[in-house]
Amino acid sequence: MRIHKIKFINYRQYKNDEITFLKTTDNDLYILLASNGVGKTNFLNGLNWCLYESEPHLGAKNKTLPMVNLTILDECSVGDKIEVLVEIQLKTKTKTIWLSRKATFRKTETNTPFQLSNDFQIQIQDTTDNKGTSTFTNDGANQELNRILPEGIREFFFFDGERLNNYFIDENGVRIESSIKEISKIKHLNKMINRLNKLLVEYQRKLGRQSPNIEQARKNLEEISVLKLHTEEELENCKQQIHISKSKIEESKEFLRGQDNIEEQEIRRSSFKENLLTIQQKIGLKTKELQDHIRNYFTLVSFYPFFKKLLAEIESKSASGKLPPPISKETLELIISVKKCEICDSSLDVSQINKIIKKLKLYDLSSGSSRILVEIKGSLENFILKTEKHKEISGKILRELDELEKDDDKIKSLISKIDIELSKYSDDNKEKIKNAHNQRMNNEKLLVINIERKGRLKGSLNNFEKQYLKLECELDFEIKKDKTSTLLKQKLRFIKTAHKVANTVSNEIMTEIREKIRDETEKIFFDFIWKKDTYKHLQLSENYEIGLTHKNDLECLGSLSAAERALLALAFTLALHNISGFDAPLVVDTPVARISGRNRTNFAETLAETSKQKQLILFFTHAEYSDDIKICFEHILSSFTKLSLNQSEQNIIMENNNE
Amino acid sequence: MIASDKVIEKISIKCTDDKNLKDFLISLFDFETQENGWWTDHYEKLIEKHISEESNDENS
Repeated sequence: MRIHKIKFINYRQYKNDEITFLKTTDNDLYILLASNGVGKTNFLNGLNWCLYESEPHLGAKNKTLPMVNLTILDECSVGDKIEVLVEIQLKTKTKTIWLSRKATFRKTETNTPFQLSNDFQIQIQDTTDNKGTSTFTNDGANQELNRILPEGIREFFFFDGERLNNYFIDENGVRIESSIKEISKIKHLNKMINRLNKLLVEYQRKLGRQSPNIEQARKNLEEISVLKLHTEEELENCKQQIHISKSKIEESKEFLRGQDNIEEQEIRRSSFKENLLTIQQKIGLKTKELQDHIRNYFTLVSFYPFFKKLLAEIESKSASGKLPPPISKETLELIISVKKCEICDSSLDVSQINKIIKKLKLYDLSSGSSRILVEIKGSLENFILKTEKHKEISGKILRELDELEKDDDKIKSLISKIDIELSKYSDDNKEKIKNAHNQRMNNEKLLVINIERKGRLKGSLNNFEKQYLKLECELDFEIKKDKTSTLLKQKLRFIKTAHKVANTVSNEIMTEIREKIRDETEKIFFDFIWKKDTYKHLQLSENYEIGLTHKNDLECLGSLSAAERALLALAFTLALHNISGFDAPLVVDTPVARISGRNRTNFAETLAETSKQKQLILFFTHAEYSDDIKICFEHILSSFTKLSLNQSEQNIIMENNNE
Repeated sequence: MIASDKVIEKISIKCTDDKNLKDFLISLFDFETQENGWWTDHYEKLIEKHISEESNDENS
C-alpha cells in the first residue's frame, strides 16, 4: 500500500494544495524540504487529523493557532461557513482508497472558528472482477480504517524523527505487543481463545449443577483462577510502574545532562549508577545461589550434629571391638571354607584362618543393631563429608556476598555525595534542576521497590499456576468419574482441546515473530552503527522491551547516545514492517535530526535501500539535507518537493523540483 | 508474511491428525476476522456440528 495523492483545503498553512507521489524510479522515495516553521510537521498533523481526528505533533493544545487557514479566516465575514478538508488517496495492487475528513466551521464574532460538523468518509474502489466502489462514513469508515491503518500502530508508519530519541521511553512494550497482535491477526485468534474459555467455564458450571463433587472442584479451580488473574494484573501494573520510573529517570537524566556546570557530576553519577546496577545484579545472583545451595543441603545440615554424634559412637564401639567387622558374615564363612582370600585370591595359612574364625565369632556375638551400625557407617561418613563440603561452599559464597555488599555500600556513598552536591547547586535554573534531581531520586527508589515487588509477584504467580494445574486435574478427574451428561462432557472435552491448540498456535506465532523482529532489528542496527565491535546482542523481552548488551556483557541501552537511540528506534520500526508484512508507507519527519557522521550516512543508505520495497516520504530541513545525505538520495528519488511560505507567511508554496 | 494465512497454516500443522478439530478452529478464526454475528450462537452451532461429525467419524 502506498500514498498516491494528498489534498489539503483550508487546513492550517495548506490553503489549497495537492501533492502526488508518482513512482518514477526503482525507489519509492520522496523528499519534502522546508525550513523550520514552514509546515513540515503540520503536513504530518494533517495526515493524522484526516485519519484519526487528532494532531499529535502539535504543542500545547490550548496555545495553538486554529486549524482553519488564517488567510481564509481573515477573508471571511462573521457567520460565514468555512470547510476544511484533508483527503488521502491510497493505492494497493487491486484497490484505490480515498480517505477524507471534512470539518465545517463558522467564523464567530471573536474572529475564531467554531466547529459545526466533522465527517469522515472512506471510498474503496476494487478493480478485481469489477467489484465497484464501496463507501463508508463516520463509524463505518472508522471500522474500515482500523483494518487498513489501525490507529494503535500509527507511530509505526507516521513518525517524527525528533521523537525517535525518546522512542523507547515514550513507547512501552505493552503497546508494541498489542500492535503486533493487531498486525499479525493474533488479536482475532486471542479473541477466539477468550471466547472458547468463556464457554469452557460455562460448561463446567452446567456440569457442576449436576454433581456436588464437580461443583466443589470447579469452585476450588475458580478461586485459584481469580487469585491468579489478580496477581497477573498486579504484575502487569508493576511492570507499567517500572516502565514509568525508567522513563522518568531517563527524562530527568536527559535534562540534567544538558546543564553545563553539573555535566561532569552527572557523567560520574551515571557511571557509578551503572556499576551499582551490575553489583546489585551480582548480589541478586549470589543470593539466589546461596538460597539454592541452602535449600539443597537443608536436610543434611539439620541432621549433621546427629550424624556426627552417631559416627563418633560407631567409631568408639568399633575401636573397643564391640562391633562386627565391616564385611558380611557369608563372605567370612566362604573365606574359611575355601581358605583363600576373596579379594586377592591368595591362600591363607592356619593362623590367618584362626583370625577370621575369631572375627566370625564377633559376628555371632553381635546384635542386629550393631550390624546395622556397621552397615550405615560408610553412608554416614559420606553425608558428613558432603555437609562439611557444603559449609565450605556456603562460606565462600557468603564471603563473596560480603565483598559485593561492601562495594555496594561504597558506591552508594559515592552516589549519595554527588547527590548532596547536586542538591546544593544554585543558579537561575535551580528549581528545575532540583525538581529533575528529586524526580530522578524518587523514581530510582520506586524502581527498586517495584523490581523487588515484581520478583515477589512472579513467585506468587508461579505458585498459583502450579495450584491451578493441580486443581484443573482434580476437576477433570471428577468430571471423568461422573456418569451423566455425556454430551456436555463431550462438548467440554472438544473445546478444551480446541482451546489448548489455539493457545499453542498463538504463543508459537508470537514467539516466532518476536524472535524474527529481534534478529532483524539487531541486523539492521548493527548495519547502521559505525561502532561495529561495541555491542554484542540485542534482546527483546516477552513484553517487547528492548535491551542491548555491551561486549563486556553489561546492559547498555540507557548509555546509548541520542543518535544511537534514534538508529535503534528506526531499526526496530523497519524490522517490525519487514517481519510482520505490514503493508504501509513510512512517513518520517526530520529523520536525521540527531544523527551525525558515519551513522548519518549509514542511516540514509538504509532508508534508500528500504525504499526499494516500501514507500518512504521524508521531511528534511535545509541543514539536515546536507551533501552526504544528498549523495545517497539525489539519483534515486522519485520526487523532490520544496515547501516555503508565501509573503503573508500564512500559506504554503509547493514547488516540485526534481534536482 | 505473518497474517491470517500464517495462523491457518499453524492450526493445520497442529491438527494434522484431526481434520475435524482443524476445520472447527479455522471456522472460528474466519468468524473472528470477519466480525459478523452474535458469537455465542455461532460458536454453539459449530461445536454441535463438529461434535456430531466427531461421533460419526468414530462410528464409521
